[in-house]
This record gives sequence, C-alpha cells and structure tokens, in this order.
Amino acid sequence: MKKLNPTIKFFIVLVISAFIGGLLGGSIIHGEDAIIQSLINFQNFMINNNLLIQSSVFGLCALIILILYISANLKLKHLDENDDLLFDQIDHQLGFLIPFISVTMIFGFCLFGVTVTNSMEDFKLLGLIIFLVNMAFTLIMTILSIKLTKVLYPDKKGNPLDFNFDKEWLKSCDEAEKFVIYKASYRCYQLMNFVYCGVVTLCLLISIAVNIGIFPYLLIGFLWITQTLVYSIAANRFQHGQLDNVQ
Amino acid sequence: MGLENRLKEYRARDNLNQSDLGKLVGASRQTISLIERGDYSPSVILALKIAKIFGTTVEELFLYEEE
Repeated sequence: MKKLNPTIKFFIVLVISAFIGGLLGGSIIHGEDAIIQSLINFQNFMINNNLLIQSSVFGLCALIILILYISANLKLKHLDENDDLLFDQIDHQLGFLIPFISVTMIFGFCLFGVTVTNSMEDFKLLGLIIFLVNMAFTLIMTILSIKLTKVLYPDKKGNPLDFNFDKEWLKSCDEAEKFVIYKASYRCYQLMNFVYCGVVTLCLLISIAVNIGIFPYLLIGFLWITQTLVYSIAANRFQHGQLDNVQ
Repeated sequence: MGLENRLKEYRARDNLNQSDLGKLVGASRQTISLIERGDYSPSVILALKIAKIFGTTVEELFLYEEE
C-alpha cells in the first residue's frame, strides 16, 4: 500500500480531531447538567473520603515497596558473581522500585493538596500526619534503595540527601547507562508534549459546561512553555560546544 | 545487518565474565551485556579499551556491514 504524504496525513488527522472535538463539545452542551453533577459528585467524594483514600493509597503503596525492597535485599545477599539471571532480576526489581517510590511520594503530595483544599472549613490533622509519614517513608526507602543499587553497581556515586545527587549519579554512570537516561528523557519530553496538549483540550471541553477558571490554563501553559524552553536552551547549548562528552 | 561483535567469543577465550570485563574497561556489567546482544553500539573509546583488553583490534572485534 502506498504511504500517505505526511502533509496530507497531518491535515486528515486535523480534520478528524476537529470533528471529534465538535462532536464532544456538542454532546457536552447537551449533557451539561449531568457533567456538572458528576464533577461535583467526584469532588465531594474526594473531599469527604480523602483521609480514607490517602491512607489506603499510601498503605497499599508502602506494602508493595516493602515487599519489593525486602525481596531485592534477600536476593542480593544470595547473589553469586556469575549468576547473570539473578543479577538481571534484582536490576529489574530495583528499576521498578525506585520510580514506584517516587510515584508514592507524588500521590502523597496530590492527596495532601485535596486535604488542604478543604482546610478552611474542616482541617484534618490526620491528613497532615499521613502526608508527613508518607514523605518520611518515601525518603527513607529512596535512601535504602539507592544503597541497594550501589551494592549491585559499586561504581555508582551520590547521596540522595545531597542537592547535587542527580549530577553526581549521572557522572558515575557509564556511557550506555547515560544513553539510556538521555533516550528515556527524550521519550518523556515527546510524550509530555502530547499530555499537555491533551489536558488543554480536556480543559477546553470541560469549560464548555463548567467554569473551571483561568488557573488550569495558566498552570498548563507555564509548565508547557517551561519544558519547551528548557529543552530548546539546553539543546542549543549542547550544539554549540558544551556537550562535555570528551573522555 | 549493522554492527555485530565477537565479544562473547573473546570473553570465553580469556575466561572472563561480563562483570570482570566491565571492571577492566570501566563499564557496568549491563553495558557489556547490551553490547554483546547488539542493543548498544559502544563509543570509539570503549571499543578501543575492549579491544586492548583482548589484545586485538576493534575491526577484529566489531564487524560492520552496510544494511
């Protein structure tokens, strides 16, 4: 089959997107009351059950983190230098554990935000305590997991409590590890451009039915512009002699 | 075809595991594994270091053919 010209493909996608947008917009206008009600219901559910949600999410995540950490630790104690299979298993486990700890911390921040939203009317001390416990737990687990990674990769350097941790860690990575980090970062940059675009579209659609104010647009705009500028400035610098890859 | 290598063969010849080779050239075991599987093309410096360890040339160790 003949491949479509990219320009034609672009315009076809544009027309289809406009059609879907129009259709969604139209159905939102017709189902305005139902959408407003479901958004209000969702918000009320989150505010009323926030402590339960906060503690359940944290409890579940903490349990998974502890299981993964203890299992990786035990495997590491029995690791023989020639056992490539077990080495890969521990590496995969740590590769999942560390981002999962970060996700738990982000959940903690978001759900604490919901607690704070309602704090003028009904401040819940337990919400603050769960948030602080979450932060302490994720911090301790990050330190322990990094220590475990250092046992697996003794050349790795950096203290997670140090503000220069990322820099030091990257410096201690070899070329293939750096390549993986750069490739993953670029994938993240590409994906985030779609995410920002999608979230703005979603906000626009919701705005037809509900007044969500100007702050969602300002916030997304700020994040999107920051990401684009940081990427462009860094790329420009690297292209003009600050690549620093001479070994 | 791209880049192929004879790293595994040379490693077996010298009785070195991936960790040992990694230590000798200043790379991680994972990096050696990635190179061996053909999932990563090493830099000129790393290729030269590996070739030096095995007492051979880069051309002997890495085979490149136009696709």
